[in-house]
Formats: sequence, C-alpha cells, structure tokens
Amino acid sequence: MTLDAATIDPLRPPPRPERRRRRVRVGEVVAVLFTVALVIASVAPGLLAPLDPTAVAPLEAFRPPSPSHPFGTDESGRDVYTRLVHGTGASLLIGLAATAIGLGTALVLALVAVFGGRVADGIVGRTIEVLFAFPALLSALLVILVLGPGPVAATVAVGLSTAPGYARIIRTSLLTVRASGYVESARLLGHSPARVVLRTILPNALAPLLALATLGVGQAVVWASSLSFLGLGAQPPAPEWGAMLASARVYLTTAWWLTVFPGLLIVATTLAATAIGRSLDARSRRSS
Amino acid sequence: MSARDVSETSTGPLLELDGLTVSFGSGSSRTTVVRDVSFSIAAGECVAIVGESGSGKSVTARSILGLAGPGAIVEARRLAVDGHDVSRAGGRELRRLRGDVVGLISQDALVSLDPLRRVAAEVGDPLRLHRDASRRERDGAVIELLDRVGIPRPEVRARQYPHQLSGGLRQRALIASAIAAGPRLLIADEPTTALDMTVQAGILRLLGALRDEDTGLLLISHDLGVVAAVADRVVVMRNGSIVDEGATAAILAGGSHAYTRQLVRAVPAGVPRGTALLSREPLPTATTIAGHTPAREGRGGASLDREGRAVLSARGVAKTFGHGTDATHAVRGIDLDVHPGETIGVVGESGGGKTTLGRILLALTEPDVGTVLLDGEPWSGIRERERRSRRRLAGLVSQDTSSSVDPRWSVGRVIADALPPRLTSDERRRRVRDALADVALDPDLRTRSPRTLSGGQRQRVGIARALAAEPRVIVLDEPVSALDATVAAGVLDLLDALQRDRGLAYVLISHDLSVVRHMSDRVAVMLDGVVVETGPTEAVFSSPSHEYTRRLLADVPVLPPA
Amino acid sequence: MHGTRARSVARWAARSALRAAVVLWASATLVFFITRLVPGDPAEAALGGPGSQASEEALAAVRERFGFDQPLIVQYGMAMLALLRLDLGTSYSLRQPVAQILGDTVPGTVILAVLALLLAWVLALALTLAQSRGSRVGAAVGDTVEIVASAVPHFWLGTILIAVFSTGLSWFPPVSTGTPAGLVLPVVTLAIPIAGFLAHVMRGSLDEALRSPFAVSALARGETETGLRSRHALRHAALPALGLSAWAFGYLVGGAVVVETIFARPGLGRSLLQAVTVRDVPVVTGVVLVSALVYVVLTIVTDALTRLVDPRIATEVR
Repeated sequence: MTLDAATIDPLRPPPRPERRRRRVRVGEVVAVLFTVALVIASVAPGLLAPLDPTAVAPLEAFRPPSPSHPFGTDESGRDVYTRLVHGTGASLLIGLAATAIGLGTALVLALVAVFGGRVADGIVGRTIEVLFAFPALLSALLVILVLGPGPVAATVAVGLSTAPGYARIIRTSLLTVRASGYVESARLLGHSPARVVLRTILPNALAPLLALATLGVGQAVVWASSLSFLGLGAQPPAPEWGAMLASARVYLTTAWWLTVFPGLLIVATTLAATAIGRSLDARSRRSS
Repeated sequence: MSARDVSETSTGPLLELDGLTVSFGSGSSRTTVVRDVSFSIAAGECVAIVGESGSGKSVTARSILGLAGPGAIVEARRLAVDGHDVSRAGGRELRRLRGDVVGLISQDALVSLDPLRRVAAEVGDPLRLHRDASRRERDGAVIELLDRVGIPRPEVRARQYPHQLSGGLRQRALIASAIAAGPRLLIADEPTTALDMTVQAGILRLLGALRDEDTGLLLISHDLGVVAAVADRVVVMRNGSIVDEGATAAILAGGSHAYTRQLVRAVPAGVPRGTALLSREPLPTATTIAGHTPAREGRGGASLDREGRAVLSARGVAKTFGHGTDATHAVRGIDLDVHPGETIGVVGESGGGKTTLGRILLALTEPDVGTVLLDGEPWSGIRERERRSRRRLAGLVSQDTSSSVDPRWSVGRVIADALPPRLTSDERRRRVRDALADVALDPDLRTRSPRTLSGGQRQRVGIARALAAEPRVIVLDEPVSALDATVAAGVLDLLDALQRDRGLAYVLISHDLSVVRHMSDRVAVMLDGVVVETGPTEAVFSSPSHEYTRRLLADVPVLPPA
Repeated sequence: MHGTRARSVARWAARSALRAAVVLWASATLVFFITRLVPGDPAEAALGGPGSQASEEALAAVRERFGFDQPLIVQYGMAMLALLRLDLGTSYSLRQPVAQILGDTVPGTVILAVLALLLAWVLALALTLAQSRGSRVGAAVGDTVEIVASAVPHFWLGTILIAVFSTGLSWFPPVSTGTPAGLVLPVVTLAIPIAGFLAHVMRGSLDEALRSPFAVSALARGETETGLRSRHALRHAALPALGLSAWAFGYLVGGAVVVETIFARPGLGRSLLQAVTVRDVPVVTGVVLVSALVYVVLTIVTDALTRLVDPRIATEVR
C-alpha cells in the first residue's frame, strides 16, 4: 500500500475516537419534569390541587392516605396534599430569594476584593475567612437574633449565611480568569481595562454561577425549612413545608404521613436542584 | 515462583508481536486504533516506534503490558514477551510480568511518580511486589539503583518526594523504578519529551547503556532525533498501522514510503534558512513594502542590513523576582535589536530567562532597569494608558493557543477582536475571511470553537489573530513545541512566508536549536538570564565561541545527512 | 534538610497561631457589633425583656453595671477586656454565668459532633471504596446515594429515624439520655448528610487519582488493583475531604441545633436556640465564640494533617 505525499494533509484534524452520543440521563429528565411541576404548583396551585388548603374539617382529622386524601389529612382535617401544593410557592420563594441574597452579597464582596486593589482584597479576604468560622446555621441564628423570627428574617438569614462560601468561589473564579492567557491576549491588543472586564473577565468568571445557584436553591430550601421547623421561620398554620413539619412532630407516633410527605417533598426538591445543578456544572466544565 | 524461571527455557525474540489489533467501544461506535501491527525485538536490541499523535504508537506499547486502557479490545495472532503469551494471560499472570519481565518508563515523571510517596517507595515497589524483599533489603537496593541511573547523593534523594527533584532526576528515578526488578524488556514511552536538550542527552545515554547490558528496548517517540540516538530498527506508524519499517539509517534516509520521507523532511535540522521544509523549495525573496526598508538583500543572514531603524530595541534590561535569598535573577542586563523583516532566535534551557525576556519585550513585565523602545519610542517605563494605542504593533504567538483564546468565543470572534477598531461589519467579516485564508485555513472554520480544532489549526488561528492586529513585530514563544513534526513544519513554513510577504520582525523563543537555526537570521544564546553568545545564526552554530553553546549543540540529537 | 524542615514547621506554627488569634478577635468584634444591632433596650433585655416590668431604678442599676450608658467604643473595649479575662458574662434568662452554661453543654455537643464526623468519614470511605470498582451501575448507584444523603434535612431524617427505630422497633430511646444507646440515633442523623458531601468529594478525587499517569506506572510495576487503591489512590482521595473537615465540623455544630432539639438532648445547639428565641445576648455570644474557637482549632489540626499527608505543601515554603 502506498500513499502519495500530496495526499497527506498536515492540517487534517487528528483522528479521535468517535464521540459517544451523549446519553440522556433518566435522572436529569425526572429532575426537570419535577421542577416544572414545582413551578406550576407555585404559580397556579389550583391546577394541581383544586381543594382549599385552609378548609378545616374536624370530622376528617388524622385520616391516613387514601384515594380521596392521597397524603392523608392533618389534625384539623385539612388535606395534606393540597396544603403541600399550596405551600410550594412560599417554600420555593424563600429558597430562591435566599440564594439571590447570598449570591448578590457574595458578588459585591468578590468584585470589591478583586478589582478594588490590594487593601480591599486584604480586608474582604480576611472578612470571608472570619465568616467561615461561623457555621451556616449559627450565622443564620445571629441574623434572626437581630431581626426576630419570621419568614422574611429566615430568608435573609439563610441568604447571608451562604454568602461567604459563594464569595470565596466567585473570588477564586475571578482571579483565575484575570490571570488567564486570554485576558493577557486582550491586554496585548490594547483593549481598555473596562472592555476587558466586561467582555472577557466577567462572562467567563460568572459562567459557573448558574450551576452554583441551582445547587444553592436546593440547600437554601433545606436550611429555610430547618429554621421553620425550629419555629424561627414561617409560622403555622401557614402551609409552608417546614412549618407543616414543625406542627406534625407532635403527632409523629399517631400520624406518620404528616411528617413523611412534607419531608419527602423537601428531599425531592433538593434532589432535583442538585441533579440539575451538577449537570449544569459538568456541562460548563466540559465547555471550558 | 518467579516468572524468570520459565524464561530460561525459551529462545527466540524477547518480544513477539503478530497481528496486534486494538479497538475501543462496541457495535457501531467501535473504533479501531491499532490495526494488524507486527514486529519483534531481540535481547539487546532497541526498536523505536515513530509516529505522530493518534498513530496508535502508545496504545501498541501499553497493549504489551495489558494496560491498553479500560474497554480496550486487544486481539493478536501472537503477543508474547520472553515466551509468555500476554494475549491469553489473566490478571494474575499479567501482574507477574509487569515490572518483573517488562518495565515501563513513561513521559513526564512529575505525574508518573506518585507525588505523595517518597522516591524510595516508588523505586522499591517492584522489589516488594516481585521479590518479596524486606523493607531493609529494598532500601539498600534502591540506593544502588539510584546510583546506577546516575542520581547523585542517592541516600538523600531516596528520602525525598518527586516534586523535590529536577525534571532530569525525576526521569532517572522513574527509570530506576522500571529496572528495579531487572526486567528483560523496557518500554520507554516518550521518555524525554518534557526535558531540556542536555538532560535529554543524558537520559538517552542511560537508555543506550541499558540496551548494551542485553535489555530489549521499545522506544516510542515522535522525535526522529531521539530515535536516531539509540534505536537499531525503526517502525513507522500512522493512523494505527505500520507504514514503514527498517534499519534506523535506512528510515532516516527516507525509508521506502512517502510518509517516512515527509516525517524526515519535517525535521528542520540542516535545512537552510529560506527553504520551505515540506516542499524543500526556496521561498520567494522578501517583497519591498511601502514604508519598510527591506532588512536584507540576500538570504541566509550573510548580508544583513542593519542601517534601518530597529522596530524593537532593548538596552540593559534586567528583571529580578523575589527578595533577599529567594531572589531569582531572571534577566540580567540584555541588549537586543530587532529589525524589520528579521528573525532573532533566542535559545537556552528552561529557567534561562527566555520567557521573561519575551514578556519584557511585549511590555507585559516591566524591567527593573534598562529601557525598551518600540519603533524608536519609549515602550518600557511608561504608563499602560500611554502604551495601549501602540500595543497592536507588537504581537504574541504562544505555545498553547487554546489557553490564550476566550473559551467562549468562536474562531471568527477571536480574530475579529484583534482587528483595528471602527471597521464596518462587512469589512470586518471580509478581513476575518482573509486572515483565515492567509494562514491556509478554511474560512468555514470561523464559526467553530478553537477547542474543536487540531493543534496545528489552533496554532494557525493564533497566528491569524496576531496578524489581524497588523503588527510590526511578533514574539513567537515556542510556537511549534506542542505540535507533531509535520504539522510544525507546516507552521514554520507559514511563518517564514508571512514574514517575507509583510516584512515582519520575529523574536523566536525556543528550546529547539534546529527550529531556531532554520528560522533565524541572528541568534542569542541565554544562560541564567545573560546572553552568553550572539551573532549571525550560521556563525554561532558552525563555530560557537562559548562553552555553553558548544554543550547545547553537542546535545542536539542529529540525523545523519541524507 | 532537617533544619529547613524544622524551620518550615516552626514558621507554619507561628503563622497558624497568629491567624487563629486574628480570627478569634475578629469574630468577637463581629459578634459584639451584631448583638448591638438587636432592637430594644439592652438593660431591659438583661432584666428579662419587656415583660419583666422592671423599675426605672433597676434599669439604671443594670445600665451602670454593664456599662450600657457608656459610648459604644468604651463598651467594646470593656467587652474585649472581659473576654481576655475569659469572663463571658451572665445569662439574662437563666441568671447563671455563661461560662458555666457552656461548661455544662459543650462536652455533650463536642462528643456528638466528633462521633458524627468520624462516622461520616467511615461511611464516606466505605461508599467511595465500594463504588470505585469501575462498574457503571455501581457509579450510578453511588451517585444517587450521595445526592440523596446530602439532600436529606437533619430534622426530617431524625424524625424518621425516631419513628422507625424508637417508636416502631424500640431499638433505641427516642430521647437522647446519657446512655451510649441514646447517642446512636443523633449521631447517625448528623453524620448521614455530611457523609454524602464527603463521599462526593472523595470519589471525585479517587477517580482522578486512578486515571492519573502515576496509576499507570504503578500498574506497570505489577501493582494489584487493591494495592493501587490502598497505597496510592486513597491518600489522594482523602486530601480534599480532610481539607473540608473543619468546615464539616462547623456544619455539624449547626446541625446539632436541630438534632439536639429533636432528641431533647442538652447541648450547645439547644442552648443557642433557646437563647436566640429569648434574645439572651450573652449566651448567644458565648456559644458563637466557642464554636469559632473550635473551628479555628480544627482548621489548624486539619492543616497539620494535610501537611503530614501531602509533602508538596510541607516543603513548599522554604
């Protein structure tokens, strides 16, 4: 077998093993579908649960799960399924708002640290390090100490307590991008610092934030419901998931469904957020 | 029972390989990466497999150890080492062969030795696994082994961790761990790729010595110079198949196949300045460009005209990093002038200050003392704001373009970003196409991400971007070090042609003396931050005056004249 | 060589001590100013809140005693001096010295958190080793177990465990008393989510280590799969998880607030929760400072362990 030298093209891309078709993961599809259901439940709970979440029916109290009450009824005879669906909006809103507060605070801190000069970086860097000495739930409790209990306080508390972690990740990301070869290339072309920051540094450094935020919402839902459970967040009889769990504790031995279903919903929400977040993260890693 | 007992009875070649085929995956996605490969190695013989990336040479070597990778399907009519059939061996049997009968030396010892274990533990492992040697026996043997591979102060080195050793010493330690149990066959997979020339020469001498002690040696390399230094026979692989094989001298003379000739031609050593590598045709002489004085009349650097003003000029630049006892004097007082249309080659080993000098010339690093002028105007010691409008005059092509382009941008956007400001969008699009055409890339590549391109294509994108800024001088920092030989030759030919066409000045930074010799009009040899020798390339290379230059030249693996 | 090593260790110790002092001082400062943001009259709070109907004279006496009438900066100076004397003040609600409350509650919580951290490490290692056998199904199962474990809220897990193992099977008491059996459920509850996090991190770095070139060299020397794991990969897997352990411990102290509440177990977390509910500032301050101290100490310990396992860090600063 012979090969003419002219047919050998040095520019031909290297033969690489055929790329395996990306398998659609079952877990990701389920997570996305579940998230869609959560969004519908938040925006239009009536579509999924036509009953009244606050309708008290003493005669119907403590009914175990049955076709008419799939998740059973609570101490006042209210349908647990209906209450869970109607509580979705409040629970998710707390998670989303807390994540937004945490990421927003972190973004400001990180930007000041990276672009504010050495003194600012020193101060912010030390502050973040000190805040790490306050475990998440402890700093949340400090915020509640000042603001007093309630859903808004719980949201702010969870948000602020996650900020140091985010700030550290964003700061590292900004520093890595700023020291990268492509930022140097932009400098070599004589682009202005503002243009380099806006067109090159920020888009690349903030790309992982979407995955981070998705993972964060899942954790925030858990923390916020923990605060509610401790009686520091949303208060019963609000149909918020954590508050439902708190009032269900008393009846654990007699009405297990009051505890199991709200808890499962929180776990499922966090699972969905984690699955989607990890998938987004893997995707952004692959493309950078 | 030691595997060696069996070998006493077996005769014939040490390695027998007949019809080796390796594929990955299954069904329709099955890819064959090695196809019907056959060769053999006798004791005391060195056979080299030469090929470019993707040729299947590493997979072939790993298959001999049963380490072709997860999911690899290895088939062979015969695959035997020292009489042991590897293709039919089970896990236990294979493990007994590995390290005892066959040793592996891989590339880049920094990652091939476990960074969390001491050198002694890594080197002594084969003795623990195959000889049941006690801790104390191993400690003694390790020091002997380290001494044997030429590591000074072996007692000290044995207690250290890999990261505390220099690149050359690490590679020697890796060799020591491969030969610890006295294997009869050694597989060396690109054993010198990340090393400086002088270090490489030492490693090659060591491998040669092992072969002379009757060890069979399978050498995998992309570098014909390395192969020429130790191999008795050469197998040329391409796309998973053997395309040529023969005695080393015959292969280096061009072998019997067009591809072999192309590989040999791609080596710049001995090809005079101004001759294209791939075609061996003389390049056209430089065109006169309005506003530029042609830098010279003839080619070869003999009649260099230095009357014209230098486009980039450094006077007494020096740069020190760190303070006190930790201070590193990266650059210590260097003068350099680069004229339009001329290439200055900067050679030296890693740590010699080449890269820092390049960064000072590009005003990415401010020199502690000395001045740099760009086009006669101050370039160092001024504020970045004042430099910005002139930055486009000096460009950079780095070793790894993929890390110097925004990962989110397409090829077209990368090039458009470098174009002069205030162009209409039509003009911009036209210029991007032109820029791609200038570097012989398909304009359709502009929508692709640079990451999806091959190494050679990416490097051409880097050049296209540098050119789009319309520079007068380009710093080429190891522009072809990461490329396969034939691809590198194409890039070098392209750079040469562009220079002639546009009167560009190049500062070529490279550890590869053959590349520098082929490309440069003048050369500066750097050692410890100082230029120890400078002058017209041919003068320096044919009669070096400094001891260090002589040593560098002596250690360049050479091809016998064709 | 030994000289530089000793000097590097000494320099590291000095730096760690200084950093610990700075973090503690900054934490105290931060807590001081945060507690001054608490609305209401601190003197009234000291006497038991607005419900106490304290007389004007009593309020004045309290202001005098705690210095609430002084300028803020003076109060801050007094607070820092008191801290230096290890005087944490007196609880508003319990009328007990804070130091005494902490002395009663800290050991229980520390035992709980330490046991949980150990269990989490064991679970994470077991999970990591069990699923790193290269099988695709194993990896998928492991992934799911990790995610589920790290997504489960403490309060729900604890409640379910009580329902199954106390109410249902009567294996363990539902209320965590002083007995070892009473510790089982709280420790498991605390450990499972953090085990999920640790396993995720460990498995990532174990996979990376098993794919790295030094793994190929080890196999090429004749190393067994088991040997590759135990002698090489496991250390690489443990490193990042080790680095996370100080953070994990803080997370566990936070989780203790929930777990101690569910299992009615006296401890730091429950005291904190009660103190926050009644705005008992001295107790909150004390608990937060103790947990900051524990975090700082643990950071130094994990740092030291990391330097033992990873020679690259130990010899980096010379």
